[in-house]
Amino acid sequence: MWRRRVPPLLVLVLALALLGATCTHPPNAFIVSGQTVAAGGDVFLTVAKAYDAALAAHSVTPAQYTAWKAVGQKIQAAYGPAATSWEAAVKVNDATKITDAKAKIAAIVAELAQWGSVVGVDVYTLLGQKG
Amino acid sequence: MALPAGVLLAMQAIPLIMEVLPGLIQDVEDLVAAMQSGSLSADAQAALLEQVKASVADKKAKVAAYQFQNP
Repeated sequence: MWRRRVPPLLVLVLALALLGATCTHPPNAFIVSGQTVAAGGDVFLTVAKAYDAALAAHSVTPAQYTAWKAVGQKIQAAYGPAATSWEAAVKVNDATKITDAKAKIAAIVAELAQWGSVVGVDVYTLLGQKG
Repeated sequence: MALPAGVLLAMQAIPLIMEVLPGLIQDVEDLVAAMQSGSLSADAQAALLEQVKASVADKKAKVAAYQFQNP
């Protein structure tokens, strides 16, 4: 079980730092950037479920949830094209094209970081990055 | 004594975070272990890339399928 291993966030921080520093060949660049894209999706789902739980527990007001929903739907709509950009780069085997996907995911994560903090989700800790 | 609202929110978020993280951590751990051992052959890289592609496709589907609440 993963719980018995090295602290997960420490592993993630070290892994991303190591991979970011050493992986320049296309396959590894695709792998690392793909992990980032997938992580962006995880972050969205985590924040969204946290808002659902907070709404059910009356920890956020309906108005707060509605505000999140408006932004969350835009993020939800933006994630698909970001993932598709990454998939397209892999398909044509051009690592230079992953920049667009990475930029989109970075913007999504930055937005989620703000909204996640309201419901107790520290996105950067979640990703093992420094805010 | 009642806990501060922020603490309660954080406590609510923990199970959700724990639900999502293990798969991601496992993927990265596998990759790092392979790189550290020098055993990440071209075939292994290709297999790993396929795994990541599946993960991205899975997340894309899950994000698209997510339904917001109607408060």
